Amino acid sequence: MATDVDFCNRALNLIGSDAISGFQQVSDKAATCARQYSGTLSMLLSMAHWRFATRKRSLSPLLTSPVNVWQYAYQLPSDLVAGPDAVYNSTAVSAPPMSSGYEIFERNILTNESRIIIDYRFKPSENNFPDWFAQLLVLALAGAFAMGVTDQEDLAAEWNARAFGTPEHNMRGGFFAVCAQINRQGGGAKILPTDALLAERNSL
Amino acid sequence: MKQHPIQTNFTSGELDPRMASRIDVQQYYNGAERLRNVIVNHLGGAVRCPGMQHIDVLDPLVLALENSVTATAPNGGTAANGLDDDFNTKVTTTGNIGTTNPYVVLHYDLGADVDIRSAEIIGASTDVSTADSDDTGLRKVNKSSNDASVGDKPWDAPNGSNLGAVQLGFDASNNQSYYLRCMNPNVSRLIPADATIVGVQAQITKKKGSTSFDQNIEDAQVRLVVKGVIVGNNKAAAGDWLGSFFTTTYGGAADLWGYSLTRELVVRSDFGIAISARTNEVIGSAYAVVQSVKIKIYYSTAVTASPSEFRIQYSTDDAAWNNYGDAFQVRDNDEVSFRHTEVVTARYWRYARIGATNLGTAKAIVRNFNVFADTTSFASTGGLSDCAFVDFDFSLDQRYMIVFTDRNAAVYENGILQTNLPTPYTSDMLGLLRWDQRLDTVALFHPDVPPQIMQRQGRADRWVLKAMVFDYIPKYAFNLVVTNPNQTLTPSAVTGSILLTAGGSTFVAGDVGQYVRGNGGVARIYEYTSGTVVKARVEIPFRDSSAIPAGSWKLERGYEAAWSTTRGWPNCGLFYQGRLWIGGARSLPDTIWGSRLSLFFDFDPGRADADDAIEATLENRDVSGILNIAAANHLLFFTKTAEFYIPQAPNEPLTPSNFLPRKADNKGSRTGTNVVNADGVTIFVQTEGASIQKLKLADGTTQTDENSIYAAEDISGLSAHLIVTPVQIAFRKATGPDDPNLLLVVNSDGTLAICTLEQKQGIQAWTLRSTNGLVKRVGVIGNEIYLMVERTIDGVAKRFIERFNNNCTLDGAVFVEVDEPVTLVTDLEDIFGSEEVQIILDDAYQNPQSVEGGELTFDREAAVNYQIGFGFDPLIRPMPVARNPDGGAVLRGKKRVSEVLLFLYKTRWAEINGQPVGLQQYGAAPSPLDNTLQPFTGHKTVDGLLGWSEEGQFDITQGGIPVSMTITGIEMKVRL
Repeated sequence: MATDVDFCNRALNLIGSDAISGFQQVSDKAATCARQYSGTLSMLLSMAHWRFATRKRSLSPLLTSPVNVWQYAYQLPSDLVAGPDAVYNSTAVSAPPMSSGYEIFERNILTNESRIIIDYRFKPSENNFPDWFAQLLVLALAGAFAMGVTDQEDLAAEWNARAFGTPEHNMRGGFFAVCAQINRQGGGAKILPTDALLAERNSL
Repeated sequence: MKQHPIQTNFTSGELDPRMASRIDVQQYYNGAERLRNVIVNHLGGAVRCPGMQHIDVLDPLVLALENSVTATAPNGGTAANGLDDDFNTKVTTTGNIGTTNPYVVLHYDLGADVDIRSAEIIGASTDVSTADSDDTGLRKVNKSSNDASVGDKPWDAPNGSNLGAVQLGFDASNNQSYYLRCMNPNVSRLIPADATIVGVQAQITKKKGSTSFDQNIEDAQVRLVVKGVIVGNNKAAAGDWLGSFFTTTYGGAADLWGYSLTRELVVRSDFGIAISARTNEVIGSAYAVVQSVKIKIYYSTAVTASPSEFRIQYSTDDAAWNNYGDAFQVRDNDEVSFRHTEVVTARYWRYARIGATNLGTAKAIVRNFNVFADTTSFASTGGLSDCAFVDFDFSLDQRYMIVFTDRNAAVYENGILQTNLPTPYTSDMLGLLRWDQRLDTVALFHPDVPPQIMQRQGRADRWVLKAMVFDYIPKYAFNLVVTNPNQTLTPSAVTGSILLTAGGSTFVAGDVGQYVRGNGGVARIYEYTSGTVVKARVEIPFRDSSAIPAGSWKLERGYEAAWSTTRGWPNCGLFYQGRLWIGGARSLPDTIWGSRLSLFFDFDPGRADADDAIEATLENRDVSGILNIAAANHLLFFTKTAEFYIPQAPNEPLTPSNFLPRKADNKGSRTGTNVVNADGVTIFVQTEGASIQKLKLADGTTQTDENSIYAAEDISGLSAHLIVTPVQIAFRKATGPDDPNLLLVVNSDGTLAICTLEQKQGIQAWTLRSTNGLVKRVGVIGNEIYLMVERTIDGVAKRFIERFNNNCTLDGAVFVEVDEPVTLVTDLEDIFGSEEVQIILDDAYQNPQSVEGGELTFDREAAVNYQIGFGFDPLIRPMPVARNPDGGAVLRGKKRVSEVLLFLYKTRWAEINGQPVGLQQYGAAPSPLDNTLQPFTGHKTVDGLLGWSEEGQFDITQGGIPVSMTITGIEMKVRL
């Protein structure tokens, strides 16, 4: 059973540090881990449409209606870390996502639809992280810990590069790129929606 | 960025935490933050401390019997004297021993069965029944002088052919000579040390010289001269002297001349006889000529009265008797003491001769016969005795550690108990016990007990402990009363032994030992003759022998022995350059006394001649109290507030005229602690117990400098945290690479600070030793270090005698070399109770086991040796890495030691940060996996070490594996 401390210790090991027994341990290392872990993980989860971290949920409308424009307000899930990636107004098979007809204010979706279903990213249990994501997390943590634990700028730069590539990659390179590619392999083949184009042509 | 710092030695030892930032001194790079349970050898490496080998369970406090004892002496004598705990009274039987078997000297009935732990006989002897008699032969004296205490006319000085001659006659005031003191028969090498003097014979060859009117000459007085003073009966022979030399014999084989003589008295250079001649006619004159005087001393030496037939026995029914300990020899006029410890239950006890050897008319004598109760629980600390380790280093192959406990002294040789003997020292006295050894004698000092002498009697198991007998104890007027008598006083002479005659009754019998002062002189009264006449010895000569006017002289009363049961006894003593030096006494804490030259027990100041006793009082702002004496380049005295030395020119002895104590420094010594001479300096514990100091000649001075200046220097300053109000120190001289010079400091918290001290190599390396218990005392004999350790066994505190053993890697360890394979060990109950213990068989570490019923069964056989004991783990932690990126050392910045190269010597196991160092050497075929882990010498790298810190440190330990380890150096790879 992998735990948050396990991932931290793997990252600490990469930067040549000895392990911690827990976030409550009285040491600079443990304090750094405690400060950096959740933020780094949330950042990673929000950087791509990680399928292992995406779920659907039907939302319940709030009793209080929006002030104007929209008829209904739906509260976003409390475990949402990124998204929503798609918004639906139907539970029908093959129902298309809405391309318009809603807005997000604060942590609410405002719409005139009487039913709202969303796709969004949450934080799964560490035990359910795929190995490739776990490794990406460890690399990212190593980069995050390096300054706090070792005070070594070159060490931080080295592990950040391994995780995300060099600055010109805009954090989309390195092992992140490999993970994004693996993630896409779980999305199935996408069919380009050509019906609208054909209808336009035939109308001429 | 990486650096590869290397540490090649640990010669600065464990540094105080307050040294953490001292990267500016070399000690930082030769020291360590932690050096625990290791010692630094003189080559610089850190070695796992030797284990503490179990020697014995320390004797507990003796417990007086609560029961009333009915004592009887079946063969006569005062039985109560045996029980009174008074060394001055004794039981002397009245019935002949003969062949009586048993011959019971003392019989005790305790009233009921009692658990007895120990019993002792003090001062046992028989009276003289048989003795070896001998004499010195006639010995010619070679010294003569006048003594004016009788007669009118002095003898002429010796002229080469005569000892003396004097012309007497002409008138009544000229008819008797002074005493001619004829001294120094020079017999010291002829009389055995244990001899009893039984008779003195003198032969005087004399004649009447040229005469007129047939004047006669005859003996007026012939007496003994003891310590230069005329004493004893007058042995004058009747009859006129002949005109030619003839010899008269005085005294004989059993004639002591009415004086109690001892060997110590007759071997002195001022022992002899004195003769005074006279003439009965006064019309003419005649010469009395003494040509020569020969003296023969008769003495006896004690002989063994029985072949070890005296012993202690016990019984439950007063009928069947059991032996308690071994039988022992009791000799004529030579007291022995005996002690045995063994828990038995009995109601009846006796001291008896069990045997049938015919001892004729001899009687038995004993001063005390004591039996002590047992206590079944040592739970209270009150039941535990303190101890003092007294080293007796007679010769290279005759070294004994004498362990003093409550009223007991146990003699160990090579860790094996030889014998016990009773002592007057109780447990609470042992901290202040001081001693010094000369040849076969140890002199022991304590302010509450008369100084004692302990002597080896030719065998390892035969010793005697007895009170020191002083020929003269120095005098001091604690309550001086000075009077100016209104009578004249006339000295018979200005110097020597004289008569003091007062104009009227002035003196009383109690004035013996008091002083008279006047006319520039001082004389000590030694004999009371009458209210107007006393005999006195001049200490400072009078200007002349004329009468001192009434009221112009002083009679000083109040002088008494400076040391006594009332005034207290000497604090400490030391044999040095032919004298016994005494440092302080309870009532005169700052006074130093030196005995007469070669006469260790005679402190007579005499006339302050070069060989007379010496006395001086240290000058200090306060009464500081002398705690210790030592002799290094000079004679040194250590008080609570200062240190003193006695300046002394090379090759020039100390005498009363050149004895001038000077202050060396003002550090002061801690009460109850001792001093040691170590590696050319003298080491003591500073008065607050916060540091260890060395007293040494100041830099740039030598012993030959007339104005030698001493200075005390702190030798524990860089490791001050390891010094915790010490209770005792000891020093073990280096004997080889495995046994460097070690200064051992017993801390009050039960730890042992150890300093490797090699002054010339600049090594001063402190480490700290702890054990599964508390170290309470330490002692050194030869290269052996003894310890008294208190361990908690099954929840109960017990104390043990242990000894460092380089072959031993456990503490409190039973370490045995076996002749044949062993799997079962018994008799462990007293040592380990039912505790879990570590086991090493043939140098291979085994799984721990718990002792059950005093027994332990090994998982496999021990073929060569086995150890059973408690483990201890070394810890070496280097100082924080001082990185040096720009040429200057700095501590700032996080670092990681990623790799360590260990230089190892004969190491069986080591770990870095808990990660084992790969040392396994499985030995040769055919059974490589069944061989003992072999010691490894060389270097090993441990890499992959983790951890970033500001310090960049790591721990070298053994992870609880109690085997050998020596780290001679460390090189590390550090990422900065």
